[in-house]
Amino acid sequence: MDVVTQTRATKQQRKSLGQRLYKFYNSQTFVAILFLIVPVGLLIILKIYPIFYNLYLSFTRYELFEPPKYVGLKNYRYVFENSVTRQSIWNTLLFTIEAVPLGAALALIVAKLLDENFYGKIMYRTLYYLPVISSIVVSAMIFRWIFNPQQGLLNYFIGLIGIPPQTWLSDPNLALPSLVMVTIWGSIGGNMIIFLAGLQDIPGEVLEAAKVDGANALQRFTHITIPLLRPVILFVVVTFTISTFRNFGLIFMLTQGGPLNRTNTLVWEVYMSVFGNLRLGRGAALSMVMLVMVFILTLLSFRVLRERQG
Amino acid sequence: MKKPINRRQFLKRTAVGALGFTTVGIIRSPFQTQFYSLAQGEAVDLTLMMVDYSDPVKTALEDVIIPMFVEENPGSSVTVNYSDWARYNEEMTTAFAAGVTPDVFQGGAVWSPQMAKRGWAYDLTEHIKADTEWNWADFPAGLQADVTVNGEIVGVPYRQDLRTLWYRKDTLEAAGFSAPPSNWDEFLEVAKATTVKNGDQFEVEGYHFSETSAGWQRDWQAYLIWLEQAGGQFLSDDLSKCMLDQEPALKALQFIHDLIHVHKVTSYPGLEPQGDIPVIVAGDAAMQFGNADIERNITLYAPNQADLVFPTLPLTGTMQATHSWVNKFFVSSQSKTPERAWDLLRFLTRTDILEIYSATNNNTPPRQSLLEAPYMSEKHREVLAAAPYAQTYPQHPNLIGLFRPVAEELERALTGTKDPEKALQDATKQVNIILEDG
Amino acid sequence: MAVQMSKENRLVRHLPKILTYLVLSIGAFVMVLPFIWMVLTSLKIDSEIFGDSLKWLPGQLDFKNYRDAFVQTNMARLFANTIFVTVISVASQVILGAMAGYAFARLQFKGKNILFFSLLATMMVPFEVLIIPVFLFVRGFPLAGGNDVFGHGGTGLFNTYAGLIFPNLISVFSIFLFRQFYLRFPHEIEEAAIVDGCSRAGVFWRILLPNSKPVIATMALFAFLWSWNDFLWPLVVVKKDALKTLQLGLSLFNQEQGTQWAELMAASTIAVVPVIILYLTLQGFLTKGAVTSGID
Repeated sequence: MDVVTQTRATKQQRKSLGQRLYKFYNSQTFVAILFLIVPVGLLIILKIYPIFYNLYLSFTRYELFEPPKYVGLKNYRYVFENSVTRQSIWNTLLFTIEAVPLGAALALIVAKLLDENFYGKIMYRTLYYLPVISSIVVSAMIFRWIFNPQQGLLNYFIGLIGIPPQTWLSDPNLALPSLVMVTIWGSIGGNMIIFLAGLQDIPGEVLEAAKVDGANALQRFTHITIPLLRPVILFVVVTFTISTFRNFGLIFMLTQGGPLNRTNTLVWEVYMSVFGNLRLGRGAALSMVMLVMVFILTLLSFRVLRERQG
Repeated sequence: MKKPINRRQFLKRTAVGALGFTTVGIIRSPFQTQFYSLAQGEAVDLTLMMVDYSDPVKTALEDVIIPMFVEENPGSSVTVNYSDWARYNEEMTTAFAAGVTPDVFQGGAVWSPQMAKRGWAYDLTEHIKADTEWNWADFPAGLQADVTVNGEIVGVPYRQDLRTLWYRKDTLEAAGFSAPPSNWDEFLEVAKATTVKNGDQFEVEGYHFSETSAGWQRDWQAYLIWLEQAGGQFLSDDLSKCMLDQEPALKALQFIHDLIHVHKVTSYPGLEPQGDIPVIVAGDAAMQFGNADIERNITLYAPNQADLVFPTLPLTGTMQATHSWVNKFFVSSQSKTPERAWDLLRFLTRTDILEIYSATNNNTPPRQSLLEAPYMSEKHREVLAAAPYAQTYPQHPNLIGLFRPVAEELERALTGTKDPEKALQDATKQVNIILEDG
Repeated sequence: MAVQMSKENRLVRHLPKILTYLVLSIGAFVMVLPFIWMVLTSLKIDSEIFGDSLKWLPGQLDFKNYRDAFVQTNMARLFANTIFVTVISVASQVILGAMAGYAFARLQFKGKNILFFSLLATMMVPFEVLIIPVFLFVRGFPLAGGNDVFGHGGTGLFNTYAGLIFPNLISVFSIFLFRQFYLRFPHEIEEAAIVDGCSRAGVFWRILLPNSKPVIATMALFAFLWSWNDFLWPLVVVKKDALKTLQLGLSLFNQEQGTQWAELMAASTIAVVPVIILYLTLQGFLTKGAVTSGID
């Protein structure tokens, strides 16, 4: 019960129409409706309704110029039976498995090193953050040049240690790892900032106490910092996983799903089904598979990072 | 000492600057490619999408061709947008799905039957038949047939993309060959003799395999020419069956597979061009298939190579053959003013305008009257000499869909991950499934 | 410390710090090298780029590549479009997020928790998954682009700024961030204002919002990055050059130019430098915001 409004109401027994209107206008429910109608309306249009509509479309054959036709599970059967789409599911998983643990670990290490007070700290933080603000398109353009088989910087460097030049993006075995490399490079800065915020919330006394008890730096990090940081690690792993699932720009810019479909991920397959072949039903089924995979991986992250706690 | 700006001031100034910049930019961009006529009359804004262009074409379009159209058609304005072959399919599909296609747009070799089937191309038959001055008869019968689907003329050719063998005279001479090869055996001999390698790295490819600009169709387009020289074809004449499991198809694929993996005279997917300079012009390859763009790029970017790189007739495998990709303009069925769009298309393919465009881009023109045009150099005539041997695509409405599995299987065979015979069998199977599906 | 340390001891004591510097510097070098290489390449001429051996420094200071890239990409237009779209998206995400965050944090109403958590769950749903329905919705937007009330007959918001901005108007993350912040905001100030006769809406606009600067800064940074880097949606929704955003324009330039490395790198440099300058100017403010708002 709201005390303030009550006292105001008893003070003024007889209320004019205007006052009553004002009271209605100022009631919590009305203000809530007023404040929520636009944001919630937009979210219903942009997020909630699309999920259900997508689910519906995934059971239809829809090529846009004729109304959707119900086909049952045909699209899903196609997704799981066709070798290309099956490979795209596998590629998506592989991309996530290769990028997320390593990328998150590197970001955590950098954040830990930057958590101390020392000269030039802000400069380092800025340098690590540069790839984040430079955008995926620009990063991809730069790396397309770095990966160039003939004049590329990367081949120059591996040449210095005696490795023969590689064709990176057109080599079926190296294409996906190359994309992972760019992704990790581009994500360290963003994840580092989140880890830094988390590290600063860890009370200094706990670490001091452990130091007094004779724990060395590594022990303090693994036994105190990491467990206390678990919610932040969870947050980073989940958001990073979702962002690798969404990684359309890099694939568009660098490999277009090739070579040999090795970088053909679900998001690329959705794009090609819908905007390349006008198979909206199939695209919707692929999207739903992608959505389920995101949920499973998120739940899995929760499980893994929770259990360590007990 | 000058007082440094504090953050608040900086922010304020940046914000004001950005706002002003944005407003000016959105209201009137200095580079906007729009041309208005001052004449009275109903204002019609037409949009034109160009895919086949080079920098000089952009200039010619914006400075000469479009202003001329606007002058001749008072009240019209034309907005030009530019696209790229590598994303053409997705771009046009999305545009049609959303209903925001350009009024007039360019399309590649596969698109006549596809546009006709989807109902995306405006039927031009009446307009063309009624217009004797513009002269449809000037286009060769083969090109007319390419844009005629079920008796309807759905587009107008603007270019024959005729590819033939180009070679480096200096490289061949240094290896002891005074003339370019004319058949597969000679070709292999020359390619072996001209290849220069440093360890596993190619310095000069005896044969440069692929053009990078074709996107995922790269391998398919490179293979197609060999397929046709081997006497093979992609689909049966009644379009009901894929013919890639036949002997000639395998012979062609085995041959180029061996170029990469046995004779090692070409790298896969090939060395890259040096900026605008094609691989063969940069001296990184001795031979490659290509169209008259090679000559254009020599003229524009490497004039010192003009006396070193030449075209010759296509090779003979089982037969002497090459492929011609017929590019055309379409009027969109979604155009709100199809009559005016036709006016624009008619204008663009009129002899005088087509000559400006073709000359600027060094296109092989589709009009017979232009084959003798002043810009047609000796080299270009040599390219044109390949025309009698050229084959065009079969008229199937879903060629893009059919090419995809083939391109994937070709990639497998050419990377050496799948046996060529197996790859072709698998490709045939997949294509046949799509053909049956309709 | 009273006891004078020996030289060796001092080295041992400083070793972790030296190692930290070393590791961080190597890492930072890897992070920055691509940008340095970008700028160096952008100043080179083709013969330097395609020479037999790798050449680090350009032989001259020639800005021709910049001029070409600027004109060919129509960079002024790309920037103008992107700034316009980004400013509106950021403002909308911040204001709508703050309003909803306030309602969820400070107001009591029926079904609040169910509503909030069902919205929160959509945070897990990547936009790419929903692109088909959103595409269809934008195409069938009622009474826009020649559509009738039921969204038939026209092109909806396609090829318009509104279509470009529409999916970026709101983010669940913003609602979440503001809610967390307002949950911890002291109640006394709000109550005092209400006693003084200020309406609830007034409390939000006059007291809470002006005191939310750190969250606003954090959210603005995120929204800026999302909107500025948005790529798939513009690729789908924009089919004319005049509306192209920076990322879209650059990606297409990348495709069209193929191996024109000097021009491509010049275009990248032009695109990235203003953002870096903006970030450097604001970074103290932004990181303070990110830390105090705490993503928990």
